[in-house]
Amino acid sequence: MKKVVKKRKFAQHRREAWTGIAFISPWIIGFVFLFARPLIMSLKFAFHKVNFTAKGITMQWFGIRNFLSPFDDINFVRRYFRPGLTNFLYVVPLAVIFSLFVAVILNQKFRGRTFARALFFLPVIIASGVVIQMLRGRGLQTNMWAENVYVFNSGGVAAILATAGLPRQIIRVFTEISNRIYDIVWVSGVQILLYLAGLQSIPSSEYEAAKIEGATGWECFWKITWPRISPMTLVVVVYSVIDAFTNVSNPLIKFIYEEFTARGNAGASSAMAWLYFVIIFAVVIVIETIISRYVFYVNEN
Amino acid sequence: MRIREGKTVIDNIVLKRIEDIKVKSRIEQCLKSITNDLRLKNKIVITVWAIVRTFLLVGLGFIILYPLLNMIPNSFMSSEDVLDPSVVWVPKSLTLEHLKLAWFGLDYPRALWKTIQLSVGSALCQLVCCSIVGYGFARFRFKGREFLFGLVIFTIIVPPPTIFIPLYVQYRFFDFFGISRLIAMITGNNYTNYTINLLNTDATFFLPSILGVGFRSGLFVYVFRQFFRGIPKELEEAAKIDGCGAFKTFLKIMVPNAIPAFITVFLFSVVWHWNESILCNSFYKTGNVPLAVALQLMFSRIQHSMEVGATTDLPIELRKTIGNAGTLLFILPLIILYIFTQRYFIEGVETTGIKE
Repeated sequence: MKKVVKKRKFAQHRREAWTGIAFISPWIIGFVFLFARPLIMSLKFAFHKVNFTAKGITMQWFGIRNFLSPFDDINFVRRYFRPGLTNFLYVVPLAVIFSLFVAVILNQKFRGRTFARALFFLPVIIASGVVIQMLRGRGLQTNMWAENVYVFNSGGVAAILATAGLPRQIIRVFTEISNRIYDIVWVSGVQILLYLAGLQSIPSSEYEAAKIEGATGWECFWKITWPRISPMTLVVVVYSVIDAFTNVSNPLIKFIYEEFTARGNAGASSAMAWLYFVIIFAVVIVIETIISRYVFYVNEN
Repeated sequence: MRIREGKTVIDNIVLKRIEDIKVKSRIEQCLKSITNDLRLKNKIVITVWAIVRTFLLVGLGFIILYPLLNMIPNSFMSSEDVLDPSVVWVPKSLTLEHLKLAWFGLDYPRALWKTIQLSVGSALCQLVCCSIVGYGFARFRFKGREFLFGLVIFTIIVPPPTIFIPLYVQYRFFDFFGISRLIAMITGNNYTNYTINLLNTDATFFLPSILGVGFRSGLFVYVFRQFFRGIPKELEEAAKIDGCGAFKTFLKIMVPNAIPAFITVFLFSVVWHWNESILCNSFYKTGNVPLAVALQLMFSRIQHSMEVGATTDLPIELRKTIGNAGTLLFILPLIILYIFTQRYFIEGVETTGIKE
């Protein structure tokens, strides 16, 4: 009797497993043919010199020259590589802090709240590469908009700071941040939403209890809000990092595209893309492990 | 308690009661004055904060809206107004001339229709596929499930530029396990090295979308999985008792329950495909192009005429105006869509349970 039951259960599990795989099968096909295969092909391209002909493509073994050749040009390093990689250092902390701040505000009850929320999410709807170019005034190679909106005219302030004797690095950090103020507002749409959702999951009873105990708003924030949304902070940070690296306005992404579309050098483009991907991956893993330590999970029953 | 002589016990009790009431009312008075002070202070803090907050929101909203708002009057200004430095916000004379130029420059009706086809089509494909795949991951146990789902997350992290070159090659010389050769054989062509060129067709977007690896599909799979996990198992068990197979359960039970998630995913997908300029630029070079490509082409044409110094020499401001008009035409459908559906975008994040 036991054996029969076991057999039936086993068969049922088998059936369940196969149905599950059947449901997933479109994705498996897609993944293998339109993701994994191109990924491996791209790695192959990185080590070859690739030429396009009408019939197909020809490849010659090129070693690691594709990886090294962009670095020969010092302009590349200065204009594309370094800004592309350091971009996220400035954008991510600012974006995370800013979006948390805005989410806290948008979580309070006030008239026109829905309109305010819709307003801050608008950049996500409009954020196309072409449109952003236009808005920043670079679409037609004029910088009028950029200067109208930047809070500090970085040229003047930087000069003042330099004569005041501040070291060059600090001045650079300062100008980078002030140039980013405009970008942050445009980039943080999704993060604000994520934080809003996280904030709304904190029961207001906690705040009431704290108020009765006489906690100030500041204490409320650090003791209740901050730990409660720490899982969401992890998500927001990882998302911001990935977005900062793969955003259309990132100079390194532009380089990777131009290398192929404008200069036809598929090998170098793939090499740089793979290098970039490995770096991004490493950065994300490092950040995720570091922050996970500090994340506070509330055990819901 | 002071026992008054000359009064009965009952009188004493009554007197004590009166005293207690007096004490109580004194205490109440004190408390009331304290809370009144606090309330006043609270009220001041609240009103100050409300003012600060309004300023903050208005200021930030200004940063967001300023370029957009500036585009609108700029597109309607006549040429003299554009060149007139004293006219910034309110045009002295309105004209549709620049809008018409942008309209023809973009080939707007065709490009618009093409973009709608592309976005809505891909969004539908993604909906169908990602919901099925998400359900598979959510409800069925099979070996390697976690690993495969890790791969799904992997597809979100890998930046699209890494694979876009091989994708280009694959679409250019498309041969899916010899299917193209099969088709060629059937149609009677020479089939030894037959490949289909899929570039410039919609298939470059439809194919990955229906197979679950479209633009940001991994994210949608994740969303659907979270969503389906949150639906109680009793519903499925009831369906099973009623004799539904797995797929029927999915259609009849899961889908009606998942309508909010469907709407959100569909909207996001439409918006993202509409705005997708990089991949579009790579895969659609000629022929019927979507709006993003058309806009980029128009910009480069204006740019080119600037650099070459064409005989019809337009000053920079006028070119910018045409660019503004073009961009306005590009984002107008999106904004209209957003006005009517913004609720689904904003609440979508909560509906789909990403916050876990």
